[in-house]
Amino acid sequence: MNLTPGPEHFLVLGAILFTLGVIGVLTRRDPLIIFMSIELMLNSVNLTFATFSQQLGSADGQVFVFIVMTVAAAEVVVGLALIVSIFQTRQQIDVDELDQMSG
Amino acid sequence: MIVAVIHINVTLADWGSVLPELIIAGGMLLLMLVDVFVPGKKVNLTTWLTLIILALAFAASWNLWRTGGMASALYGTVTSDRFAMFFDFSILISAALAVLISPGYISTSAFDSGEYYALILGAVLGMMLMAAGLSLMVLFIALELLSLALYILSGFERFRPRSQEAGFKYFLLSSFASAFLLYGFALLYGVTGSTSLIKISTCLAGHAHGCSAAATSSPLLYIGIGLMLVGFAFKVSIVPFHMWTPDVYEGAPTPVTAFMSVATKAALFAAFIRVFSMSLSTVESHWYGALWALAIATMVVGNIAALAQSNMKRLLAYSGIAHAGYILVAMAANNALGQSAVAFYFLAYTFMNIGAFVFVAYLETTGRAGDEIASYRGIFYRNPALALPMAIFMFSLAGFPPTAGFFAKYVAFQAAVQAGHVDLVVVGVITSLVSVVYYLRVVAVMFLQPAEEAAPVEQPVPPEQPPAVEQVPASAEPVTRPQLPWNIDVGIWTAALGSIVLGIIPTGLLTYASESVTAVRALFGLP
Amino acid sequence: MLTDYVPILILSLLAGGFAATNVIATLITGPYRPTREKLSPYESGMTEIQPPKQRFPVKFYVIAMLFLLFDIEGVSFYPWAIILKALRFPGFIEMLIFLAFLAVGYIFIWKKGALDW
Repeated sequence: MNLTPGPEHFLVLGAILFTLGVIGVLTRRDPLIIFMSIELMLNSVNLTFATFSQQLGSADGQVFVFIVMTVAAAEVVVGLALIVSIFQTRQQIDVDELDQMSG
Repeated sequence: MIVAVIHINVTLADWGSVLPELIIAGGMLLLMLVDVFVPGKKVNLTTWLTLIILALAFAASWNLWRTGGMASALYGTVTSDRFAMFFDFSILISAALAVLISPGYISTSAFDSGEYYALILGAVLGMMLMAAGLSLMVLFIALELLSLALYILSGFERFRPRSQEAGFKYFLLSSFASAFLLYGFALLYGVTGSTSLIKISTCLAGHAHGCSAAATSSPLLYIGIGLMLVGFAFKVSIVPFHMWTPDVYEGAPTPVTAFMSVATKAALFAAFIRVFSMSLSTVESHWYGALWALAIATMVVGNIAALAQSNMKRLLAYSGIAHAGYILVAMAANNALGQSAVAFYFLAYTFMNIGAFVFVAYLETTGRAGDEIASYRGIFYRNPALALPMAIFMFSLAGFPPTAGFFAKYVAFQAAVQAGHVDLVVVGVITSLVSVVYYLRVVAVMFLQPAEEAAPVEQPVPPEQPPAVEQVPASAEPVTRPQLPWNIDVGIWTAALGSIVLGIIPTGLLTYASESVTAVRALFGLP
Repeated sequence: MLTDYVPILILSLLAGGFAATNVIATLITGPYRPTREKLSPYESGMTEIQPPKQRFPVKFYVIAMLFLLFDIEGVSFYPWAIILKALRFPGFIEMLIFLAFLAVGYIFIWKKGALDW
């Protein structure tokens, strides 16, 4: 039995992690958890990029990983800032309570 | 092993081709510094500074348009072709109009003006890069730049729960969509081995650089296209990925809504066309079906949902969804005429849609419930200078000749007919007829019913022609305007003039639009 | 291949067995006298005086977020440092421009008072 992982294993892992992230966003109610799920999605994409980069022998994928990491950090900051600003005026944060406007 | 082969040949011309973007970036930094170093209230200073920066960027874009720009610059990551410049014009004009109506909000809601304008410029920078990006990396950075700025802007009225809610909803759903788009980019990169849109198109066309011939039929390509479609559809609010739009449009500050309703869509559609209609042109059969279904769903749902709205900003949100549907029809045509139609559509849409938001913004900053349609009763008799242009915008959005909206829609449908997609056009025309109902309802509320309190006798005769800008403050408006009273007039009449002029003499701009499309098609080797 | 993992398996069994033995041994030999304090969740040894759902200072988050933002920008320096020789002087200037952007951001948050503790 050969247990050496090949590129396809990493791609499948990336797809599984991405799907977990999607499920997390769709089913959870706590904004922080939703937020973490989105980060999980971005990082699974990073894994995919790194795998393709290795497989294709092209550096573009790795550069893309750097960019995604930086952008993800900026996104975290903006997201947390929004959560904190909501927290200052409301005690509790639950996405179901953000229903002032009928969606 | 990865061996870096580096050819350094960035010339001054490369930097020149991103000059508009550089001006905006520099302006953003300048505004941040002004914000912290100039003491006191500085709404006037920052507003003028922003307008000047936008004007400079417009001039730089115009210069690039005149000289034709560079097909690909900075290692083939960005372009300054006429297609990008054409969208830059829409983006810059809508930003300028949004800035024009902002001072009222800044003074009434105690915004921090420097921060606010810096964020607007940040979003503009992202949008311009989005329209100019030739690489998946640039597209992603640009997308995030514009999105991050807009998340904050939507939630900018920090102590108004609806604005908070809008910002947070937009943030969650939009970053969710970004992840989809990014995964699509990753798969596209994996299949074609490149992040450059031009290399991707040569790879899929079958004549390239060690790219496997099986690429076009790879299942990863199908999945990647699907994921990218979902991502783009979310961002430009296409049914069934439109749920966030009405809430965010209603909750966000009105100038921000005005800006994002037009400029975001323009930038995203420019990238959408560059990726799908240009780069993935050879595998059109992979995505045409999905685009067809999305276009029909968007036109039907957008227009029918708009019928039930009583809030103007929500109505404009659904109308925006419907218009995205018409634009999709033009895009689905996938020919040169269709792409010029999209470019022209956005120029027309800039004027008519932002004009409607200027109307809402004016009523809001004078302390009235500006977004409830019921409160527009008889507004024509109280303030004809406001109601007349609003009527023009509504007629234009509904697509009556001789307005800009009519020609935009006409060219879009003509392109679809030319490509043989009559089914899309039939749905488009029927739903346009439905849309007439809700646009004209707004006009009817303003004109036909008598005013509730103010006696209509005060202003019995409507002016024969639109009064000049200077005369307006002297007209029947007794309420003192909050700040820079001329700004609303300039904004609303510029928009009205644009909506009319583009409708009466559209041919010149249509020629420009098709010139821009020729340039971008040549870049991707399409006829 | 699979035999390589046998030592890890043995180690895991030993570790798990040790933990299980300890838990079971205390359950069997120790006395069980529950009190209110013992049953409440462990809160750093402090008596719980307020319900935990309350406001807490935002400052900490702001500093943490800003640190994260500036920290992650450092990632851009690695690829730049590797190819700096090939980039020569223009590459150096480009990095200075990048740093200028960060510096303006830093001045902005500083003057805004986001760093006041």
